[in-house]
Amino acid sequence: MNNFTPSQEIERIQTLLSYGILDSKPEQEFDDLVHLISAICEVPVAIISMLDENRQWYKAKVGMEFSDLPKNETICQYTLLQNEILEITDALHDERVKDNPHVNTENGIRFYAGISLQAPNGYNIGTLCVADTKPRQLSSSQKKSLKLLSKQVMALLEARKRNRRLSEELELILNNKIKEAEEKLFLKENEYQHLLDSIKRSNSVVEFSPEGHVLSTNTIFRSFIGYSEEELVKMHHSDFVDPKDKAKNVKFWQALENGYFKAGRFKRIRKNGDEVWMQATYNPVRSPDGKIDKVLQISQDITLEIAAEKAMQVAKEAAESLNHQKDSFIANVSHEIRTPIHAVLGFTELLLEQERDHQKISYLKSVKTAGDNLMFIINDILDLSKIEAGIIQMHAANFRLKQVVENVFSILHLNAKQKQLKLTYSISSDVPEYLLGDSNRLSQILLNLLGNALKFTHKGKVELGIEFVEVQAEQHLIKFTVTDTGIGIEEDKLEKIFQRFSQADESISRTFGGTGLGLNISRQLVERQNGTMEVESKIGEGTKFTFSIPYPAGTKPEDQEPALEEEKVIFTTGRILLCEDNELNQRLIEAILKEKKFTVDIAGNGVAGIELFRKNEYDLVLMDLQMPQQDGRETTRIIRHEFHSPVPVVALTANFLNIEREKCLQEGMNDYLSKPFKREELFEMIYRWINKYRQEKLSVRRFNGYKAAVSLKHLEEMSDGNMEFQQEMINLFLENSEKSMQQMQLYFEQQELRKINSEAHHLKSSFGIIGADLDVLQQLEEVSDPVETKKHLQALEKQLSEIFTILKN
Amino acid sequence: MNILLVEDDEMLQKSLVFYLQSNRFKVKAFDNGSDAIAYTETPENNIDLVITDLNLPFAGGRQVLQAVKALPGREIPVIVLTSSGVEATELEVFDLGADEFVTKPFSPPVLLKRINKLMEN
Repeated sequence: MNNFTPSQEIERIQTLLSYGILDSKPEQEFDDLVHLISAICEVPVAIISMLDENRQWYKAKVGMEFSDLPKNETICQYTLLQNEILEITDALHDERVKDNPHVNTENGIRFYAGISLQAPNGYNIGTLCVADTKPRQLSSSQKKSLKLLSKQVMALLEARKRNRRLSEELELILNNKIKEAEEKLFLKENEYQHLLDSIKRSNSVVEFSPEGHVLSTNTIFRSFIGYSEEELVKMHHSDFVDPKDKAKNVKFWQALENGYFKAGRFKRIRKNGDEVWMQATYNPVRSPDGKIDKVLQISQDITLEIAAEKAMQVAKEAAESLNHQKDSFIANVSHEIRTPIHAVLGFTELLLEQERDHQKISYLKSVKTAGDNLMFIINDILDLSKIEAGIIQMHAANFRLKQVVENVFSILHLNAKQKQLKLTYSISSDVPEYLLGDSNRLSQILLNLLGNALKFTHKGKVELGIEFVEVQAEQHLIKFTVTDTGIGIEEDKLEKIFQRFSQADESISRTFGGTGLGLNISRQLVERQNGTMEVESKIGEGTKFTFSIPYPAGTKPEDQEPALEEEKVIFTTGRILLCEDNELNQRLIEAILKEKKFTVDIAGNGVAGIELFRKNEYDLVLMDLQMPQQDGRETTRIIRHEFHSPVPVVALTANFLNIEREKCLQEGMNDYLSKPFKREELFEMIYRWINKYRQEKLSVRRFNGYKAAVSLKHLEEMSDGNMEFQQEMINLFLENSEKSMQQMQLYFEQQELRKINSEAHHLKSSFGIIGADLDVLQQLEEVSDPVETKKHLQALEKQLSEIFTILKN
Repeated sequence: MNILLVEDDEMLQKSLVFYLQSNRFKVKAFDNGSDAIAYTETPENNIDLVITDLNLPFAGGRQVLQAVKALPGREIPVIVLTSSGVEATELEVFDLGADEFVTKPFSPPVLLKRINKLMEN
């Protein structure tokens, strides 16, 4: 066996180095092994050594003073060259080593036995050897032990190497992780720092101690609050607060001290005493041990915004108040203008019926036409003002589209016939039969557009087409097209015709009349119903108006009031109280009613009305709303609440605002009639209510069959049929419940809602006896909101009035 | 048979007195709790049954109930008139020692049935 080739030697050395054993510290495991082998082999010297290219280094040794030797001085260099045990029984007789300086010396080595430490890749990296100063020979079991122990050494080296690699890897991983964490931390810190910096640049930032003392401030805060840095360090949070809010501030700060985050709009007082506002957050900052370290206030100056808000609120209130004034102004104007026209028209109609002289009839008809036109114009103006005031309201009710169209056509039919124009309509089959919307407004628009078309067409036809366009968000978009073969409109005037008081040509108003408001109103009405209106036209060929309105699909409207013919037979006359201050109207209505043989008593104001009501029994009251001394609503209230009379009261009002109508019904009026009304409307109203009233009177005692407010079953049982006692109880009820009602109203004025609750509870017992519905009382017993209370009180008043109606008859 | 009736609603009280008297009961009626309690404590009274409302001025129905049940040596049945129809209140009434309750509004024969049932026991 010879030396290794150089490349093999390099690989061998690399293998050795891979164990990282050279020049390592002594290790107990290796030391134990050399002691063991020296004992087994019964020799003084035992060594575990590693051999690199020119040195033998001892990892563990016993009986040897050196810790390493030059390779060429070693015997192990020869062991390394073989895989079996090299045993030299007497070194002085071995050619290889007899001149070795450690052999050829006094007390030199005479005996040597060694075995290579072989790495798993086959390279021998070191030796396990024993030596003695006397010649000797190992027994076979000693040799076997030497061999086994060499494997043990190698196993130790392997384990050591693996451990080392593992810990290296571990360390690498750990280092990487640490590095990553550090990088992240750095980024975060950087981010926070940027955040903080940008907050500080654009916001007021103040640090307070947990007790509220100023620790630090930035310039933005200092200019906000007006104090200098030197002043601020001595200040406390409460110094910035309005003295009135100090108490609140104590609580506020306590919450912060307890670690609660606070945010909101806060008022602060500047050094110069000015009020300033800020949108602020107060953040308690905790130290790692959980204690509140400081409180960080970040805020922005919103003084200007607050001022703007306040100004806006004031402006809004002013606007609302103005709007309200406008509302009542329109109502008043409506009354003032329409009343006299109403009288003119009414008397003209009466005269027309009586007059037989053709000449005079012709004059009267002219008066009537002029009056009607005047009424149209005024209605237009009123419509427009209502649209402008935003008080026009759309009524959503189910209607049959065909019926609306037919009504419009029946009005225009004569007009078309006179001009020998063809007037037709078509409704495509996919248009829903019933729609939900304001049919009166639709009629108004159709009347206006078709009326215009007829007016400006001299020959040919006027057509109305109705189509279904699409369903959008459950709304059916319906398109209406009005086409005529009239004079047409020049293109540059098309937009102008929708403007108020404007017609395409100045001469038009002279030739055709009209206010020029109609189209403007129509378009606004369409837009109010979320629709659009357009126009196309060609001079001399005709004009096409198109408008589309989205309607929810409707259902068949409930049947109208049953025909009155039958009832007219049942009831032919009666006594009517007319409360009306306008002398013209008094005489007109009196004339109309007397014609039908009604007895009419006239009161010029509410007070006189009440006087008459006290003396006479009436079948119906016609009540003007606006009267001197005591208006219609107050008069009605007295009739209902002082006389407890269920007599039908019909409001006569020139005031056709919806709010007014609702108010009438709330006051206990049964119905309303807008002036000017037609005679038929008046009669229909009178017949309907007088008949209803009579029927109620008849059915009043038939409690069980009557779906009414009371049931005297319990009372009858209690009284064992004693009518006198029943009456006594009913009187007691009338008296007590009235008192209770007044009491509750008084409580309401005093805002004593709790007392109302208990009064309502109390009243339930009495209601129970007369079998009245307890729902309203139940709600009043539980209610705690003033608005709701008012609503329920009104409901109770209504219920009581119904109960009284029944009990008093 | 003597009944003590405590009900502050004048109409209900009068009606019940009338009804109970028609059914041959003797009725002593009060419109507040404290007068009723004072009456139960008079030695000469010989009440056989108490009918009381819960919501009463001065002393409430609960106090009347407690006072009646605390009378020594006598077991007087008590019917409570509730207007709640709330189960919790009715349970509470039993807890206080009431023997029966009637929820207002009630039909008088129902009350009569309850009275007779209690008097049989």
